[in-house]
Amino acid sequence: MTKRAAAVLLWVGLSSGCAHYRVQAPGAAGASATEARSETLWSLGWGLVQERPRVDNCQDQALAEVTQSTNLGFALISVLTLGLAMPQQVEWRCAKAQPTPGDLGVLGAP
Amino acid sequence: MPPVIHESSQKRWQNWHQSYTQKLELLVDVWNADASQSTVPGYVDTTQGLQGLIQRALTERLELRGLGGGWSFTKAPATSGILVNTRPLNYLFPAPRTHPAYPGRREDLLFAQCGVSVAELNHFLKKTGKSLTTSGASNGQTIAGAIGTGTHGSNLETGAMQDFVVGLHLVVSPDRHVWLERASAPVIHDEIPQRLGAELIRDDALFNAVLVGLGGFGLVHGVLMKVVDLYYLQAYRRRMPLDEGLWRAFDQLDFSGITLPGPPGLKPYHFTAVINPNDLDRGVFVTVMYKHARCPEGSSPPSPGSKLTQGDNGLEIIGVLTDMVSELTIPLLSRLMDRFYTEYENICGTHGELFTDTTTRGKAWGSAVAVPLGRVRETVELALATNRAYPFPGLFGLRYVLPSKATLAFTRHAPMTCVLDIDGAASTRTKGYNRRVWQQLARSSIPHTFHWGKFHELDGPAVRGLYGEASVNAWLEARKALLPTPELREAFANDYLRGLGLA
Repeated sequence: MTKRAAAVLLWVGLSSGCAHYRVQAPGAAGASATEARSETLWSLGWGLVQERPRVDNCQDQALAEVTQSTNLGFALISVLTLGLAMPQQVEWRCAKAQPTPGDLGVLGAP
Repeated sequence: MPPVIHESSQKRWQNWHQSYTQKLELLVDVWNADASQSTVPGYVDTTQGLQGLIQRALTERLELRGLGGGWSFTKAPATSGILVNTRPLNYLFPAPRTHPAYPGRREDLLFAQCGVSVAELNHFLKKTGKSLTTSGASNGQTIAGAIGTGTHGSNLETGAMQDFVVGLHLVVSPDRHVWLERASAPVIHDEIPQRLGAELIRDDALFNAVLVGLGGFGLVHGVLMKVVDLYYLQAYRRRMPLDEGLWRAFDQLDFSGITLPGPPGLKPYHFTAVINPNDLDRGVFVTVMYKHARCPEGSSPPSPGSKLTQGDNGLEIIGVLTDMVSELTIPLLSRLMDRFYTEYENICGTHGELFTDTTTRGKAWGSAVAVPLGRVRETVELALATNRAYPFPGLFGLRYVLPSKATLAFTRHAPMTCVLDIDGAASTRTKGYNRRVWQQLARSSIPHTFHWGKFHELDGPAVRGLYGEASVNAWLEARKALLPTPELREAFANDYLRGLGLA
């Protein structure tokens, strides 16, 4: 196997998702307003420092869905550092607003 | 106030069912400035915001596409240019003032902004004592996306979703947006398009073309639909032997040779079948629903926590199962079906309570072919014979709808269209199986058309051959009328339309 092929295999192994956990609001609330946005978050120093995602695309609405993913690369980092550094990927979709209905016509008109 | 246009840094977009990833220049989320209250000024401001995006696309020589739920398996919503996520646009305006010649009640009309999902519509309508006449088995699609690709249910008394639409507000250029409805059936009072600043066009040919517009006519900003009084469906699912009587029911909707589950003497409002082609000896699943003004005594409400619900069809089943297991084999599919897709009796709920799925993703892969009543058995037998030679781990679904007036509706076969869904786990085997069925169909004399939102391999000549020269020409002429310059037509084109010979 060439070095190039080995590097490709290693990259695929490290970057491919191998476990996903998705939490989605049931019913209409689970129909999201936005496409998924994701960040890789790090927990460092056995949890002493924990990154939080920067959710700035939801226009004051709630979250409809959150997916947490890990992969072989993240697992290796966690094992090799004995838990000192634990990366995770977090993905979210924003919930929709719930506007009150409006009046398109002239009020009271036939 | 102008709408909030949030530009995402992501340069790739994936559809809901994860069947492809598309590179793109820009993804924007468009939010109404005041997302908490549906107002006409807010709606008008958002129209201007959408026009600004069209101007940007023209200036930067990019394609532009409105994105709904992204529910389609095909690349109908995909673009390499600007993808405009319309899902946050969910204003609702019930009971608009009607045209003096409109014979119906204004209470039976609802104007929805393009991003309102079918689930949201069901939720809102129930509160007002109303209901959609029909929807797909799943309901995460937006209203504009659902009608634009011809989403359908299996209601024996109505057509597909676009067939309850009676008016459309379409943004076609940086300086023009139009209100479209049929000249033969005017609905809205002239004053309302004026309030929206829209040009009023009453034209049957234009309206029918834009209904199933595949995103190629501009940005559909609002949809006026006809709704009905809230009704309840009493539902039954039973495994039945595939005998001559059931074949006659599938082929002709002639129920005289079988005993349908449920109260005797009632005409079904909804009728579907799910067939596991590798487990025929144990029969096929038949779901029947009867319409009532209220739930009959003794019926049970739907159980909202189930993995599969009463209205789920082949695609939802496969989606749920492939969410649980990564590889779906023929024996495993049968075992999982036994575990999760079970018979039930006398469940009653509203349309929105029985067709609930908004969450299924999974690694499903599906096609849907529409054929006329009378050719259903031939089509299913062709698919079964193909499966005997080349078995695949998947399911067939049979659903029925009245033919549509939309120019390029795939549910077009009179007197009634039957849609054969073929859904399986996304695999080379499933794709190979589907291709074999499509090839067999092409060699047969069975008139057929393909769902625009599910997989197919149509090209320009095939579209003209299957949907008709006249229909394709009428659709293209309407597109030219509404998008008069080559620049506009290019802006609202994409690879999908070009591949179909529709751009």
